[in-house]
Amino acid sequence: MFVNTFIEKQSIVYDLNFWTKLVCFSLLLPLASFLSPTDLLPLLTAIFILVFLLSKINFLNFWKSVRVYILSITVGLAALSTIFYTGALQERIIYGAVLAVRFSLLISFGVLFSMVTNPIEIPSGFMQARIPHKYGVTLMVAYRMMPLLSKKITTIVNAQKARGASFKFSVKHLGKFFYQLASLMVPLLHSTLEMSVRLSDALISRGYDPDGEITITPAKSSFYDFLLVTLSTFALIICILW
Amino acid sequence: MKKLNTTKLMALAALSVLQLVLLLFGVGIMALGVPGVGGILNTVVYSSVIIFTLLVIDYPYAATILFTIFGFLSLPFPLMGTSGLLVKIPIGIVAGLVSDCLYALLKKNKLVCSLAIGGVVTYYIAVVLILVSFFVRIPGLMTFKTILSFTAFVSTMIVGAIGGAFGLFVYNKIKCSSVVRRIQK
Repeated sequence: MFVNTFIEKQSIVYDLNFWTKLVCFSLLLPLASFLSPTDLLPLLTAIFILVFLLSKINFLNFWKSVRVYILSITVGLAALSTIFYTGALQERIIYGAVLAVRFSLLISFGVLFSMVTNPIEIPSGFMQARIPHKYGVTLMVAYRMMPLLSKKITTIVNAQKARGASFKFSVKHLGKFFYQLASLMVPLLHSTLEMSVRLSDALISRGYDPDGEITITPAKSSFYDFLLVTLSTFALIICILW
Repeated sequence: MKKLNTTKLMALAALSVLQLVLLLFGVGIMALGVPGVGGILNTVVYSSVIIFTLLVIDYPYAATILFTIFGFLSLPFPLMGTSGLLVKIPIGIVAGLVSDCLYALLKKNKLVCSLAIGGVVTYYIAVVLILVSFFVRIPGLMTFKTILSFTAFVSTMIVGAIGGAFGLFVYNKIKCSSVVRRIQK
């Protein structure tokens, strides 16, 4: 049902600092995509293609992750702009296409960030920014829990179905639907909390102290970090001032 | 004041992941084209998980931490905004702060607290997402702005309040279990 989005590879993009990746791929470049005039969208697309090629991610894997979002956004925006935008039909279609490109860049940068960022970089990044390590470790554990929890949900749903439960929504029988939902939520929440308690026992037995001191790995910044931040900032400024 | 120990932190991690997975299920239903169900389910999930977290963890800023973790986890997914939108993290942090403030004020009466937090927080998320949609210039929003504000008010506040009550109902079912008592210790 659910797969972790990180793909393990070696490349210049993977070796970038966590904060460089977060700021550039989740803030500066997506913001530039929305604020840029139409003439500069090819430049931003070229930046994305360059970064994607440097990351050495397989295009098919990337496309599998983004195709549902990009295709549905493109179709939806084309339909909405054709219906609601004023002007000739050609203008409306072009407006929808341009907006779809902006959203596609936003989604692509966001998914690229999650594919090139190892969950273990998050607590390290937080500690380097002097955020208490307990929050970074909590976030990292949450990333690791995602596939476990989706399997647990499938197990509980199958167990309830084996006991005769059916989860069909009907406006006439709204109360019954919520009762059925409760029959799913109660064991689900209980088993989720049980999993978290077992995990906390494992951490405590290994001597983890959320308020204790921890070794902070020094932040590594290379020439490529500086280059990407400069390029992204420059792109954003050009897009605003053009 | 109770401490934020390892047990509470792991419970927060688990509950934020559960919220993410259940909301993805709601998005999947929306993608299948079934009208209204996915939105109702997502509103109920948001409010019930917040209430459940606040009641189980019973710690100041529990909802803020939950939403911060959820914001980072939901970055690659179309939850609380489109994929890749970094602004969903501050949206979530503010939602968490609002929940924590309301919980601190109203926790003596659990039912009123659940209804209030469920309604207010889901309304806030709906309004902020509509404002973000105006910023990114989604076509058709100006045409439907009156209907959207009415729909956001009625549907999210009422359904959010129902979701909050549902979260309280689920909490009452398992509050006496050893797991919950261990977390609350």
